[in-house]
Amino acid sequence: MMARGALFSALIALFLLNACAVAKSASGSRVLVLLDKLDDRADYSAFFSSLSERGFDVYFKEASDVSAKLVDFGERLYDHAILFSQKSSGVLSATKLVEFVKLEGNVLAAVGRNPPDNVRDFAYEFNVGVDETDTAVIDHFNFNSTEGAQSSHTTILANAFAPSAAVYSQSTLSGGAVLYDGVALKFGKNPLLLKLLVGSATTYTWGARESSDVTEQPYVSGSELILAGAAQTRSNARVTFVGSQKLFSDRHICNDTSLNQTTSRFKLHVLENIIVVDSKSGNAAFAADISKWTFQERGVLKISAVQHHKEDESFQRDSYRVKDHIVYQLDISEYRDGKWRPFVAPDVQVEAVMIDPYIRATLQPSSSAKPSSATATTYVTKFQLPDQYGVFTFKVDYRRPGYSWIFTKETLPVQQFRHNDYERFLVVASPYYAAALSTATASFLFMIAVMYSS
Amino acid sequence: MARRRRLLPSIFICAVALVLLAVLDFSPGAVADGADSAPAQVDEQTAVLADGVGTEVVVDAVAGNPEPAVPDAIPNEPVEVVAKIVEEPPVEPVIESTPAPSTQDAEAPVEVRSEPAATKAAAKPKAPAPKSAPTPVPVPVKEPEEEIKILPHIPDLMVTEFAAQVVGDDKRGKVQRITPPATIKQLTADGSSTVKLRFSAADASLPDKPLLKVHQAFVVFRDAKGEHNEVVLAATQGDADGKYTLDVDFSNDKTRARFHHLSSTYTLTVLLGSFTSPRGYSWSPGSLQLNLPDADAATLRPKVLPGQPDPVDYAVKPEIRHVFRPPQKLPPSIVSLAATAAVLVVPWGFLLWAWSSLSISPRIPPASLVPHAAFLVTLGLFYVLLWAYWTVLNLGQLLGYLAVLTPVTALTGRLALSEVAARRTAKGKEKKKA
Repeated sequence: MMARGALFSALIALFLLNACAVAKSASGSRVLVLLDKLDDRADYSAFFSSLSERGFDVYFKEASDVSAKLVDFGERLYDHAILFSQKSSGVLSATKLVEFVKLEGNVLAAVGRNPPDNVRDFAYEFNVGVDETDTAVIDHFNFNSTEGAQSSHTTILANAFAPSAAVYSQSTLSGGAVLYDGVALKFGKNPLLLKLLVGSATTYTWGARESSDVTEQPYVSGSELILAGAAQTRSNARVTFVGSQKLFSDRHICNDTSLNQTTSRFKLHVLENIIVVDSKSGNAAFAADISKWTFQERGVLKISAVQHHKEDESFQRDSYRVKDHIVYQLDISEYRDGKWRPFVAPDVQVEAVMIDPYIRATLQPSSSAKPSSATATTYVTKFQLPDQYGVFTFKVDYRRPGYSWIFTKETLPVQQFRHNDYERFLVVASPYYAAALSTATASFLFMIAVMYSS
Repeated sequence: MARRRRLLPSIFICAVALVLLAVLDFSPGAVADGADSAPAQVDEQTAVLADGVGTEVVVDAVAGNPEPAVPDAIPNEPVEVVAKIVEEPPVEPVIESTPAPSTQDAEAPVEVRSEPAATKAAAKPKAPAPKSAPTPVPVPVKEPEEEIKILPHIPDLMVTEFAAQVVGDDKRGKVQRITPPATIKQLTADGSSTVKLRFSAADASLPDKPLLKVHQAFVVFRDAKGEHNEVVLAATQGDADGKYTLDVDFSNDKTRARFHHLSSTYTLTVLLGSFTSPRGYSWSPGSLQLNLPDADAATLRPKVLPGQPDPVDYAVKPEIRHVFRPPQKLPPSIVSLAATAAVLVVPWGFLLWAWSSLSISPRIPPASLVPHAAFLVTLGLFYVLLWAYWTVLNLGQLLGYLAVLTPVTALTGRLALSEVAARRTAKGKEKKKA
């Protein structure tokens, strides 16, 4: 009776768990949003409600709230953080934010015109520079002109998206321009940085007051002017910096724009002059894509099922021999729209390394030999082990901008030929074979002759 | 006498034209506030400008002078008036209300002359001034609490003069001066030259194109070969307001670093932008051929070009196929086969020849065939075992087989050889007897 009751309640619990809304992020659903005042969330209601629809548990706290903690006792309390506070640094210093990122937390930081010190220092940790206070991104060629009398050249239209399929969906790339009213970012020489949205050749940054003249080279201009950029750490935590907080506001997301003058693309050598009239800003699609990428809903890869064997065998050995023909295969999946899906790429490579790489082979996505499952693509390649014996490491280190870094390595000894691994019979030794055999035959005949001669 | 006859119809035509311009309002009424008091003030404006500009225009047209006598006849008056308006902070720039004055319009003198009147007229509310413009209107009394709405002038940006020169250590290039839309001959610069660019920004919407101070006066150097190199440099103010100067010194390491040490042909583009203008201005004066020293490029040029992912980390790396050691060199098989033949032929030949000189007459009595056959078979098995050990067996197996074969061979051998020995002793005894 008791056992049946326990079993029944366990089944109910299992059913309920499955029925709950599960976040589409690959790394958790708890989001902490830091605002100056809790009332500010009404200004961003479209953005926050889209997050809730995607299954996130969004917690709002004021930046100055003492209870706003991201890490407690060495563990993350939240999986993602959104920094929307503009006025004060609040409780979370740059050090605490970095600690959160080190524990693989993702951060979406909107910087704005007067960023607080903690966000500025946090950006500096990743070698992202923010222009001084009271500066603005200005573009006299691409700006929002629907605001009529309020049309200001500091609310610019940007559509120089990074051509990354990992970050942006096709509809965002070909959709409306993004309304941007904020500050310029500049990247340093950090290889982990990724440009997401940059300015066009006509964009620059200067003091927000229109009366100040441009008297020297601006802090940054052209395509080096970053409007939105990200850093992906080696543990695949993503930190995105967007220089305009108003980009996420309801006003800009729902705004109609009429794009005027020039539009320029991310390819720097072409400046296309197109007059386009759009009716809707691309802010909603851009905010959705950026937040999906930052919160590990897009562009997340994983490796599974690494396998290797000799070409004429099917079981995996723990050591191989020099000059063996090896088949190496693994599965890669991509997380998109809430599920792990097959990830097809033409440039995944495996290396056999002993201090230096001896072999680097491109893995082919397999479709015929072993059909890929519904969740992963199998990549296969064949190669011959070098005639150098030693301990080799087979590594797959796949790093592409926008996708998470995936890495697998396995150490295998490669042994020398055994005495019986060489060729058995050699043509060059045939005189010796002939001599031995003829000696044996002759001795047998001699014995017969001796025995039976009279 | 003749002059008066030509005057009257011309005056009438121009008056009608001005009336028409005043009536045909191209915009929705932009000034919502103070619509009642606005006509009076605007009339004041047009009256001032008309006094200054309108009448003179009529006179010139009447005189049949096609060339605009504006710069000579009116030394500075309209410029001053315009300059005052430009420097005031813009209040509600009305973009939709202006008919877009294009650069083509600026070049036609007749249309330009009527432009200021048209601008002012367009900014008026719908109530037109039906009275003819040339006659001055008495200044109405302003009500103290009403603000004087100064409608901002919307400039149309353009570059009026462009000068380029390349100055090197020992040589000075020619100064090329052009005005748009002309282009300069290609400039050539190397690692020790300075490219000097001078240009002036002006307002194309006004008749004499006064120099205009703009916020953005940049020159973009774009790599024509598409190597993703684009450098944007800001030009600073030169001698006067509206004149801009940019000196690019390629002997400076920082400048070269900005150009990423890339030698290529760069197209120049001048960008002008201002907060008061609804549209920026961009114009390409020509191109620059930059030849930086090769050593410079090889060592300092970054491996990563701007806009491209770092090939060390993020791109496909070249495939490496292992080059195996060549197999050990062996003598040609002909030699081995010849040696084999020699090994077989020579000793066997000798043996058979030697045996043929002997007389061998084997004699086996039929009774003792079985032990002899058995002995020979077991002896033969030894050789078979030798072959088997060479090809297939290992020592353990061999010893196993030998352990079985040896006593059997000993037995059969004893039988056979004892029979042979008995026969031989019997033969020997016979020989002794005989």
